[in-house]
This record gives sequence, structure tokens and C-alpha cells, in this order.
Amino acid sequence: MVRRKIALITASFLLYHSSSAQNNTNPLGEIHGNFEINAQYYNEDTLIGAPPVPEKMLSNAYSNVIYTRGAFTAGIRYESYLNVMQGFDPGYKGAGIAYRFASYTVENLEITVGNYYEQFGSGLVLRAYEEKGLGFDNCFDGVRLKMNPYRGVYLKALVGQQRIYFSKAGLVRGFDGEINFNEFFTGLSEAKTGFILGGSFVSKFQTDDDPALVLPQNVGAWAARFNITRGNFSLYGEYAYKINDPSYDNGYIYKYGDAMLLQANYSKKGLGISLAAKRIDNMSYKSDRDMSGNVLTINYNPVLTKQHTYTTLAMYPYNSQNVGEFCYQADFLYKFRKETPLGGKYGTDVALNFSSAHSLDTTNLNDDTLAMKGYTSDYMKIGDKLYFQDVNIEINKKFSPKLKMTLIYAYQVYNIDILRGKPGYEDIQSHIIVVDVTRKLKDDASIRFQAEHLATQQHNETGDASFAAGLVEWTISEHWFIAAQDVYSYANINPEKSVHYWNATVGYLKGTNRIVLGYGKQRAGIFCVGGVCRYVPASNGITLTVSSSF
Amino acid sequence: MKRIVFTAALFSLFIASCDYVANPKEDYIPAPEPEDTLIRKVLLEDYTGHQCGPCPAAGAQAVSLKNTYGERLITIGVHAGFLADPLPPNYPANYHTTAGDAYFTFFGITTTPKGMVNRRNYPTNGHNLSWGAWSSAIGNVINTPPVANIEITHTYNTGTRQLNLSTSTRAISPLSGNYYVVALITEDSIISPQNDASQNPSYVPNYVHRHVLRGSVPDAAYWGYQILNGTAAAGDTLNYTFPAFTLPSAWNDAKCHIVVYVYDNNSSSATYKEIIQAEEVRLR
Repeated sequence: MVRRKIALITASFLLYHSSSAQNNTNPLGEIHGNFEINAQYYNEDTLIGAPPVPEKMLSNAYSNVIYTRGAFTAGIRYESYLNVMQGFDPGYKGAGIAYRFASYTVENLEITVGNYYEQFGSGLVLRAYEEKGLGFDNCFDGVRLKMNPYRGVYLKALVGQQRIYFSKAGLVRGFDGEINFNEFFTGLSEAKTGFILGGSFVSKFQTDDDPALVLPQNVGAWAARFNITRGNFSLYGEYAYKINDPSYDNGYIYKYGDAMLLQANYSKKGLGISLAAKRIDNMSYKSDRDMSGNVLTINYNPVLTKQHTYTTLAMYPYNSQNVGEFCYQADFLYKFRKETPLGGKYGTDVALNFSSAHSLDTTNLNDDTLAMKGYTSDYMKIGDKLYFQDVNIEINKKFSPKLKMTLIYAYQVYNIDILRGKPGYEDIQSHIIVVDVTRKLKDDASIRFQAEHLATQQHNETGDASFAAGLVEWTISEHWFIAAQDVYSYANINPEKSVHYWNATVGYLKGTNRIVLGYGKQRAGIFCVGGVCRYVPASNGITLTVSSSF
Repeated sequence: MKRIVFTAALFSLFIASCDYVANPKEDYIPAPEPEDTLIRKVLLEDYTGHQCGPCPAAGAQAVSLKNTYGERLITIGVHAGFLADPLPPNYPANYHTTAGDAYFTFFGITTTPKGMVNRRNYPTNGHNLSWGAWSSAIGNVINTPPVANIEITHTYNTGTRQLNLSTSTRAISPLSGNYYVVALITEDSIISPQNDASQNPSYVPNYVHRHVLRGSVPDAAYWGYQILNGTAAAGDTLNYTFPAFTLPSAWNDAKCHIVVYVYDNNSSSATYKEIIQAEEVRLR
């Protein structure tokens, strides 16, 4: 959770500094930067399966330094993985300048050379981003142009290679155009209905040196999207199509891939409703067809499940299935107003969420000696395998100026075979309850109690079944906090492995500096951000995080 | 409007074409085997596991490549990684080996299915190949002239199950450096359950596991024995006699093969760990 926050802060920082490029007033320009290091000292712990680490201590660190002057921005990011922390891709081992760029804007044209991040639409055909908590970074290295040639018309074009560790690979070309009709047609500028149309085209190139197969060297993908808004209502839709793209991820079949995403939102004061559905079929799209894992990914599969942060709720997170999935989600937010029977003195927030992910309905073609299309899928049917389901209700209630509480109940189903590649286990069906109470002590001091319970009859690949967890966090002042947490796997099928995973942390904050020291045990599990996941191995030891910015 | 058209035209230059493929299979006929008996034999290691759903597709590719190249390609199925762990009652077998686990860790395989072709391009990460890349990797090396030739001489006592093995490696062109010879035992066509993601249901109880690595000769010698530290002229012969080895009773000796390979073990060499020649014979 801390890592996610830090990643968000970093992203906001970069966005702020790129968007403020034209606003700074210092004639010599301005330099800003930030820094973070995560380090851990590892102890071997055979009981929880924490392996010995030859180096004893491992660390991941980075620092951004960005210079802006008028319309000009340039920056670098230095990264160091000496050596790579457990659970992150060992390919990152090393240190160096991983990101450098220069950008300037003249008239309506923005030119960027070097590294850059980008997203077309919802990312179904192209999204380059970084997520430090995952060790994920698929930034481009090349050239990008952004142009606003006419009112309401926005164009982007890019060509680049993609980052892989401290190197780069592949070749990607992309173009995206968007027209905002309400800006384009002056007569529509006051219209109640807003309408935006967009389209993208992306192509990757990789040589075919296979003597036995004709591999497509240029693999194109396109997408079209719309966004309609009217009053409190909005509707977004996108369809993407990818031509034949045999790859490691799809088993080297020549079937096309396609994706559909539909999102509808309604919101007004005290009420929010959101409905979304997507269908993804054979949409793994990488710069290198032979690559597996979270590297050289060109596109993104938007996640349609609630992103939980509490330990037990996030224990079995959904990871998006680029090879094929059908997902839908409904969100309902309601605020019981103040001075009503359910609202009480301060009002009560209730959030209902339901999400479900399924396989596609597919028929194998068994044509691996002919066209090698692999399978066909039925658009009108959902497959018979349930991948994931989450029904949850969250109530946020303030009792007094000093006391507030969050109460969550969730029922989750997790297909361990599909989502972890571990066959032979029953789907984990869990009932989860979380109670989180915060009591304010002074203006800058508070104490938080958190109790969680995950009840299930099934066990996972390490034998764990039900969990109980508790947390006490005392914010002593604006500068200091201490916290203690215990996650207890009390129903492991092997009683010896019913283990307390306890952690204690102490943190010091001053200005933009933040130092957090911790000691404890980390259970093996999966950590996901936005449907992209990494395996977190068990560990036992001291952790240190230092972050800062200027 | 002109500006829009001009800009769109300019930007469209970035757009590349799409290669639609209607007939993926090329009419590929590998170059005929040289009439000379000294041919390069290539080792394909298929890292796999019985819990690994995508692995049978990789195994099928190994079989397909073996059918294409015949005796010029030697394939072994190395069961390693956590997806090779026994998981009773569905996946009770344990095909882990000291050698396979050591190779899996040393070469940083980390996931299955993956493979190595002669362990080329180690350590630049070009050695750890997805199965779709095996064909081209084999094509890049299999028609190059061999630099050494291996002859295997062995006796096997079916009663005591003792194997006496010696190898004779002859330099075809001059060799310089540090070379090691390794002997492995594989067992073909072991039948036991496999997770196969292409099947529905994915649990295949009678899956045929091909060319399963059973171990090295002897078990601890998975990095083999030094046969050259210096130079060898063309025609020089480098002999090695392995310690006598008794096959465990669980191995079906009627389906076992001996696989021998010679590799460059000079850590400062550009071809460190690369296999320069391999050979395979039936055990009995």
C-alpha cells in the first residue's frame, strides 16, 4: 500500500512538473527531483519458506531530476537495483540512467525525444507506464509528437523501442487522433451533450528468422472509441482489434485478437452508479513475441475489479487475463444525508461493489498443422469457468469529530488454477470482514485499530486457509508514527505452518523526507496493481524506506 | 482544414503495414545431412513441469523439431521449477533432478516452459528461450560445421544395472580453452499425469512425458569433468572414463538413453557454457 502511494506521488510529481513547464517564472529555469530507496535485510526462515539470500541485504532505489524552463523540460531518472530485491524481476540487477528525455512545445506542437510514457484511449492497444511497486516499466525510447492543429483536434504520433531492464528492444509505431465535437463545432460549444470520438493505430516490427514458420513481422492493432456525456451521465466505449500475432503468451497461434470495453457512469451529489463490462480475446501484445511476464508489453487491459488495500481483501487479487476473459462490474455509492435515521449526525457513506470475471466460450480448432488459428470464440456466450468474483459492501461512518469507522464485508471467489497457474486446488471461496476504527487524539495525533478476518474452507498452494489480522497504528505527532501488525494463518492444513506474520514499523516524516524502518515477516503472495501482478516471496527481516523530494 | 489534412498525412507516415499470414507453415526442408559422418548435433533442453499448463505445447514443439532434424537434434525434458513439484494426489510424480534443478537455477530459467539451444548466448539472457524461438535458434546453429566429435563407448549390465561409460572427444578444428564433458541419462515415454491448458479438462492422467532427464553420471557431476585446459590440435582426441554408475531401480532402463555433451567452461570466453557438440546413444 505504501509503495502504491509512493508510485502515485511519483507519477503526480512527474505530471505536475511536465504540465507546469510553461508556468514557471524563474528565468534560469527550475530543477526539481525526488528520491526513494527500499532496502531489506533478509533472514532465512524455513517455516514460512523465506529462502537464504546470499547478499543478505538487497535494495531498489531511484531518483528523478527534472529541469524546466519555459516550454522546455528535460530530465533523467537514475535507478539502482543492487541487487534486486526478492520478488522483483532479477533482470533489473544493476544501476544506471534508465530514463532520460527532453521536450519542448512550440505553437501547437509538442516534441519529445528520449524516453516517454503514453496512453491511447483506455490503453487497449497502447499504454506505456511505470509502476515501481510491480517493478513494471515499459516506457518508450524514441520520438513522440503531439499536435493540436485545430480547435478540438488532438493528434499524437510516436516511434520508439521499449525498455527492458536497462536495455531496450522491439520497434513500435503508433498514431492516435481524437476529435472533441463540442470544441470543433462552435455551434455545439454550449450543447448539453458532449461527444468525443477517437481512434488509434499501432504497429510493431520484429524480424522473422524462423525457418519453418511464416511469422508476421509487422503486427498492427487499431482501436476506435467514443465518449458521450450529458448532465450527470457519461458513456465510454472502445473496441480494439489486433491482427495475427503468434506469441509465447497465446501459444503461437495466428488468430486475430480483439477487445471491447464499455463503461457507463451516473453521479450526482450523494449518489454514484457505475457499470462496466469488457471482453478480451487474445490481446497479449508485446514488442517481442517470445517474451513472457511483465516486460515489453505494448498495451493494457483495464481492470474491472475493485482495488482493495486491506491485507485480507487483497490476499487473492484478480490479475487480468490478456489471453481471454469476460468481466463486468457494478459500483453503487450512496451517502445517507446528515440528520436522517441512517445518516446520523455526520452522514453515512455506503459503497456496494460487484465484479465477476469469466473465461470465454471457446472451441478448439485443432488446426496446428494448417492455419494455426487455435480456436474460435462465441461473442454471445460467457465461458463456463469462473475466474474471480467479488461482492463487497463498505460503510464509512463518522460518529464524532474524533471517531470514525470503516466496516467492510466481502465474499470472494478465486480460481487458483487460472490465476496462479497452480492446478489441482479448489477455488478459494472466502468471507472477509474488516473493521477499521480511527480515534483522533490531538490535531496531529491519532490511533487506528484494524481487525480483519478471512474465513474459507479451501486452502491455497502453501496450505493456508483462514486468516485473522490486526493492526494498531499510532500517529504520535506530525513527525512520528509507529505501527504493529499481525497476520495469522491459523488454519493451515499443516498445523506447524500456522504462522503469525507480524510486523512492526516506525516512521519519521519531516518536510518531504520520510523514513520508515520495519521488522517482521512477509507471507508469500501476489501483489497486483491495476490487474498486473507480481509474486511476492516470503521474507523475514528488516526493511527500510527513505523517500524525499525537492 | 488544410492543416489537418497535412498533419494527418505527415503522421500517417509513422503507420506501418500489417503482415497478414494465411499459411503459417513454410515448405521448409532442412538442409540434407552432410555425407560426412562428422555432423553437428544440437542439444535442446525443454524446461517443463507436470503442473505447468502451457508446457505440453512446448513439448509438442520439441517433438516436432526432433521429427524435422532427426538425430541431428537431441532433446531432453528437464522437469524443474515449482510447477514440477509433486502435488498428490493429482500429480504425485517427482521428476526433479539434482542436475535439472542446478541448471534451472544457474541459467535463471525462473518460469516454464522455457528452453535452451546448446545454451548459446549465456549470460546475455538470449539463452533462455520461449518455445516459439527454438526453431530459429536451432536453425542458426545446426548447419554450422562441428568443431568436435564425440564417440560414446559403454557397457551396461542389466542384472546389476551398472553402467560403465567412456567418451572420446576428437577436435575437428583446433580447440583452445577449458572444456568439460557431461553425461546425462534420459528416459523416454514415461506415462503420468500432466496439466495441459489446451485440453478441457486440463488434467491429462496418461500423458506421455518424452525424453525426461533422470540425472547426470554420477548424480553430483552435473557440470561434468574437464577434458581440456589449454589447446588441442585438429585430430587430437580427449578421452574420459566416467565413474561406474548404477541406475536407480525406478528408471526403466529399456527406455533410457545416454546423452553426452561437451561445453566451453572458460568464464571469460564469449561462448561461456555453450555446448560445442552433443551425442546420444541408447542405454541398451
